[in-house]
Amino acid sequence: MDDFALQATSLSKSFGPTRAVDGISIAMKKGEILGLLGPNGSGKSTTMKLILGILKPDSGSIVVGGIEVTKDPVGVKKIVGYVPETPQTYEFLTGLEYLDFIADMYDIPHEERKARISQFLEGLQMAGHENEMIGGYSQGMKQKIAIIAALMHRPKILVMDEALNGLDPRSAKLVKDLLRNLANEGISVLFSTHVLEIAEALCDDVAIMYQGKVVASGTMADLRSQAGLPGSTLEEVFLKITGTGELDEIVRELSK
Amino acid sequence: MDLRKIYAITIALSKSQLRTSTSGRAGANIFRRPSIILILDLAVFGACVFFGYLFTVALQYSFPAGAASPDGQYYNVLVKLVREALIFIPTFVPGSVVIAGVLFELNISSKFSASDTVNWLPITQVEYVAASALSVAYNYSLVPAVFLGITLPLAVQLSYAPLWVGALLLSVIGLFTGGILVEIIRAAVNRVSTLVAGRARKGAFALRLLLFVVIIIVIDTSFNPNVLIQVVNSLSSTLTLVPFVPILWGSVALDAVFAGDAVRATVFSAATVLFTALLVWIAVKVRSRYWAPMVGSVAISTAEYMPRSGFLSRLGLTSGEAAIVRKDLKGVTRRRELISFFAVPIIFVAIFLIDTLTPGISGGGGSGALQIVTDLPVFLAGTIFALMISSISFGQESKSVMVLYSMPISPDQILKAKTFLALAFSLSATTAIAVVFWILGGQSALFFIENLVIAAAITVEEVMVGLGFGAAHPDFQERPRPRFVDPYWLILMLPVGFAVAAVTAVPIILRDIFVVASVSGPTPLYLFPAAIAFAIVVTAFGYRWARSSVRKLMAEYRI
Repeated sequence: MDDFALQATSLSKSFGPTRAVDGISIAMKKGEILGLLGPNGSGKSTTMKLILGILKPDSGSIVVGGIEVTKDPVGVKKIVGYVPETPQTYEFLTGLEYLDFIADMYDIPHEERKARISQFLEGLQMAGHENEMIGGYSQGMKQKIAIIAALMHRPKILVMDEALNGLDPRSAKLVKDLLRNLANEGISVLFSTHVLEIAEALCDDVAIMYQGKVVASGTMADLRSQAGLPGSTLEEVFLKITGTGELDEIVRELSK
Repeated sequence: MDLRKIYAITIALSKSQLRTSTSGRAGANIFRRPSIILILDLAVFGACVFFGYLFTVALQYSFPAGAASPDGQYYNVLVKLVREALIFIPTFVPGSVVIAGVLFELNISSKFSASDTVNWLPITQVEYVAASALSVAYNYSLVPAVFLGITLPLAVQLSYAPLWVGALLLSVIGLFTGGILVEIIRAAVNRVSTLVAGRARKGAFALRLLLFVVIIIVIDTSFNPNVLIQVVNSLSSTLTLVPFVPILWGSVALDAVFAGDAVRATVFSAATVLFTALLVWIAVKVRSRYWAPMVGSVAISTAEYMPRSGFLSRLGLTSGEAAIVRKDLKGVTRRRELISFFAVPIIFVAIFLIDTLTPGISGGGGSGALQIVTDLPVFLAGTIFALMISSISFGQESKSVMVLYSMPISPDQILKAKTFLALAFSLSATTAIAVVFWILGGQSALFFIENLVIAAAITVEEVMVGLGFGAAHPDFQERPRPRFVDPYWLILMLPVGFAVAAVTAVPIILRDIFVVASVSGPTPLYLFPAAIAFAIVVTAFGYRWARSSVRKLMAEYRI
């Protein structure tokens, strides 16, 4: 039990008639990077929001860092860093003011926050833009601010929903390397992405979601084995498992 | 200029006005289609014609022989009023559109008002300006529908039909003129915003609030009936100046129609059209020059980052609560859509002052009337400001409320922060307004203290009522105009708020009645503790409601 940073069991969530998450179970070990893959609308973002306590599950249980989410959502949020799929920030604040706001929320000591903010701004090439209002930032700059906000308080668990969206190649590489280092230090990362190459290169384990269910999970080798495609790429495995691989005819039609 | 494009853009802009939610059923809902405005116009016009007809029947019954009736002088006064109303309509219409436009159009986010589209689609500035003005004119076409509907039966009865037709035609032009003026103001305000944001630092955002207030007050004053009457009175001695006031040309043309001066009527009608064309040209030029198609990067400060606790922590707020207060405070001065909410009490007081100080409005009321005149805004402004500021506390988070959901902060802490800021703002505003009107009304210190105590009690209870409604029924949608509170509940909140304020203000109301009636005797002091006790009960109820609503709201993200 203590080896797991996250354990979600028989998790379900519906929005009206739509069953967004359908009885899934996910376990993530400490220091593990778990990739959550799936086509649009497969339930990845809903699962992440359930884990963070932003949504309430219809059934099932979630324990994050030894804390039951439904009983102490604020306690869970203290140890989790979250990057939403679209960076939700306050656009009338400057990048620096927003990060200061986040630091206040996590009660980060002043000296520490100053140093952390400075390091991250430099590292992600945001120095010089920190006093500009977020409303004027590009998509990638907003994403960088959201990533810094999630990492600043040294979370034990990171929940990152399409976190590399919009990042320039250098920043994307930096974040990937940083995640690997953090994982080596025992921090767990739940990471969703549509870019299968990133999942293949970064994640220790992968769970593929489709129509609210986990249809396959395990290491890359496990997935290839489950799909019956030894030696194949993650893209081929993904398309086979989710049954979305019949694209040739559609391409031919659209090309006419 | 492609008329089909103008039509298409006009329809798109009208739809963006009507569709205030993201409901997928918008297309099927008749109330979300532009045609609903025309239907409403016709319905209101029909109802007004009916009321006008009833008035005509009453007129015939009261004055069977017209001017020759026993009270013929009253008949003549009524006839004169109808004629002047008809002549005044073309002047009134653009003013009304401008006021409505300033209040309801300027705070719409450009990305939701479809105005950004012009930046990448093959649309010329003329086409966009024309379409935008047309959509504004169409959206507020209810204004002439009311006036023209009421006056139609009277015009027919009094043989003013040609005058009515002239008023109709010039009102249509006036609607478009109003729309064009809104376009010019929109571009000017945009220019002010970018100028202020681009060049200045923190203090400059207050300047934007000030400019916004000044623009509205100037426009309101320009079309305030009391002020206009004074202007017309002063102009009557120098009638030669009227032809130099373009906004009056439509009325001058109608006056000429009444006088049977065809040449003058034609000249001023043509001048009205030409004036509108000139405004179109100006609007296009102003937009071409000042419209910023994208939000520029705005640097707020270059000072070195020094995190500090500030005085909020010394007031008992935790780090997270103080952060929310500071964040909301910055939003007040930086978010254009919030400015109107904070400007309302300032505008309210200023307009009330203009009305009070305009000769003939309150000057003859004596000290008793002045007493009420100076008491009323203190309680009304306190009520309105407290309700508005507190009720938008949660909805103003907009989609970014997700940040609060993902932060380690409890619902009670969020409510504490929101309550703190709403109380700070509202009590400051109420005190300031009370002092202004104390000085204006020349009241005794005792009256001022009595007013202040009750006004403060009203403010506190209204803050709690507003927080209750705002937390129970927030509206986080941003399109096309942020509303912050579910409009149906907002409509309910206002009478509830006014009723609560009225009950709390009973001691003051009785006191003022005694003053007006010249009844000697002490202020009913024994009612003050009862009023305060009532305010405490309302405050406690409001707070409990707000607390349970925030807990429910923050329990799950449902946006």
